[in-house]
Amino acid sequence: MNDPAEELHTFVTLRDHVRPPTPTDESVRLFSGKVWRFFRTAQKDPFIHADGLRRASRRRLNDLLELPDYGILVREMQSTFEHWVADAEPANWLQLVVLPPCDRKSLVREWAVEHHHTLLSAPEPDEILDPKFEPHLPDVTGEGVLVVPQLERWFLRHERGLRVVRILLKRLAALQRQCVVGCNSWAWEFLSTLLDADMVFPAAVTFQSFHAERLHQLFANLATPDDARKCFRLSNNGQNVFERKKDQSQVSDYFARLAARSHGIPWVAWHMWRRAIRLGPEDGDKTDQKFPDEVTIWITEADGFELPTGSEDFVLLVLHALLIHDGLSEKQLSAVLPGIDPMQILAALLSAEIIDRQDNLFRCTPAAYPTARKHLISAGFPGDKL
Amino acid sequence: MTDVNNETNKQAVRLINDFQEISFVTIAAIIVGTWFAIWIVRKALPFLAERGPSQMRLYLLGAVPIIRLLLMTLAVLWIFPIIFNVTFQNFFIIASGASVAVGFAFKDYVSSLIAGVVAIFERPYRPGDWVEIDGDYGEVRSVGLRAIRVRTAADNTITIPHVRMWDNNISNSNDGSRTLMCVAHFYVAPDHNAAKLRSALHDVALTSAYLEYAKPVAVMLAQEPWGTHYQIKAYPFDLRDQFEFISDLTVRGKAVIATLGASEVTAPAAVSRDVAR
Repeated sequence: MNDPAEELHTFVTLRDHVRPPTPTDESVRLFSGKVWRFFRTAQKDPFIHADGLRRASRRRLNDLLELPDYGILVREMQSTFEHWVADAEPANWLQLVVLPPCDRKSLVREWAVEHHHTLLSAPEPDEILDPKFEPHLPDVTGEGVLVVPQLERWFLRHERGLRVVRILLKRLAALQRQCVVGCNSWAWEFLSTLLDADMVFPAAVTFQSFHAERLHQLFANLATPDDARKCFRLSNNGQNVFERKKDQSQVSDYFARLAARSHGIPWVAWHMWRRAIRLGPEDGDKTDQKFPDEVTIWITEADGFELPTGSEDFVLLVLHALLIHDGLSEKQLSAVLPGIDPMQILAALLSAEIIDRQDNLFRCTPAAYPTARKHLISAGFPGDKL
Repeated sequence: MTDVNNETNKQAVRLINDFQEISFVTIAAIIVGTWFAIWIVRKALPFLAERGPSQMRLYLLGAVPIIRLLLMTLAVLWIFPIIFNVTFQNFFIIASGASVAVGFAFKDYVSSLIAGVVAIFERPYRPGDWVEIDGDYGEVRSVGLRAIRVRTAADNTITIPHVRMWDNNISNSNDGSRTLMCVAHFYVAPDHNAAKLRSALHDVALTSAYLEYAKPVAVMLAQEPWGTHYQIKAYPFDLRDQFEFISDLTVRGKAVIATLGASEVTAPAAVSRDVAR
């Protein structure tokens, strides 16, 4: 039998993409929300009270939890496209990779850099809005694979912001050279439905969802390497989340629940996991005697994200715009949402940790993405397919 | 045998049960119980509709009058045999008595009630629909037994009896769906590049934050003696955003017209007043 850790998946089409199933008790929890949580807390005596645990500093968290190696996804992408890349006369010159939002490392760019493909950089947002700007595309008829890592950076949802992406799509449609285009799933929904971008590309592909087993494998590599005494336990029942039964199935359903909550997106799952991490009380308690030979790191039921109240409609409009573009500056946000002053909303969202800021770019945080998505879909906003 | 026939005749002639046989406590309990159940439904379903997924909103709102009708029918069928001695003969007596009362005293009221029952099944309007009846445009907030309550964009609540359904046109903008077509109008002086402007107005609709992707977007234009009349026709993803959506299209559409060097035309004030009338 193959070692599951060695198993290399290939990307699947959006139609074949399956989200992780939601465990039954998780479904009930989601359905009844706060009521369920109240009774659950009231009825069950947790193994260790989360209130008594300490939040780890950012530096300590970085020591405890390495950033997962998404190299596995780069390898899967290479495995998916290697025959196509090697083919001198492929059936399709174009390939489209649709990825969930909050992909901070830009998977498609990483793949292109690792395999020395030609990258096509997006123009500056200000240039996109300039009606006189002509995008300078390199000689697209050259040799080798051309890669457009983030199609969402080629447009702004503005009456003058679609021209550049239209020119790009037109050029790509006539291309006689292998080209891989990466696109955020929310932007793809916009471009494929409204600009008929799906007519240019063959069926889009994406990575297979990270179900419980894949998440377990991914995170197990991060949990142990330097300190074998390190042990991740659930605060409500004391279970070691990486422990397996004799038949190799998981003792805890933690990763099944995490996979469902994170929609099978590894970077979202990792940030949700990181957010739930707590350290034991400084003065020690009964758990020290229970697990004297290990360094216990506790995983709590992470606090949910609460949308700022008062201007819910505007908050959702801002979140939707940020997800479609995978991040915007305040100026760009004002351009795509005329009539709304975004600064106060951005401040409230920053304070609620639903978005973060890097340089001038505001982006939805990976851990808050499931919450943002849930509220947007519930309010009827056009969503994505992942 | 004769005694039995006499007893049967007496039974048939007796319209109302003996007071000793009528359980007023049961009747009161049924009325209070039904009223309470209807009150719960009228409060709970709209509450859930406003807070739950928007896809469920219209279903929940539309269920209120149907559940109320079912509960009231159940209550009447339950109470009727407690009060009345139900026989074939008595049915005609009660029906003829009721007909006279209705014909003289409650004609309009009963006509509204019947129209209300017809409206539940025919569904010319449901709670949550946006309708125009006799010049009044607004959202149907509730469908009562006798009348509907419509809230206009100016936040006025208008009570419209169902009886108006018999002889008035009812224009329903969404007919139970979550969205409705919105139209933004632009009046442009004829000297401009129409193809370019049409394309730009199309992009105005495509880039609106309120747009429903799954519905078509169209820009229509017609040549008039005074210039060109443009209409952007598109759907918001939530019908409650219709006025925001039209305003957004209008603001950005006007900016596009100015950017392309076209100019809007206005009618003289006197003509505008005539048109408004």
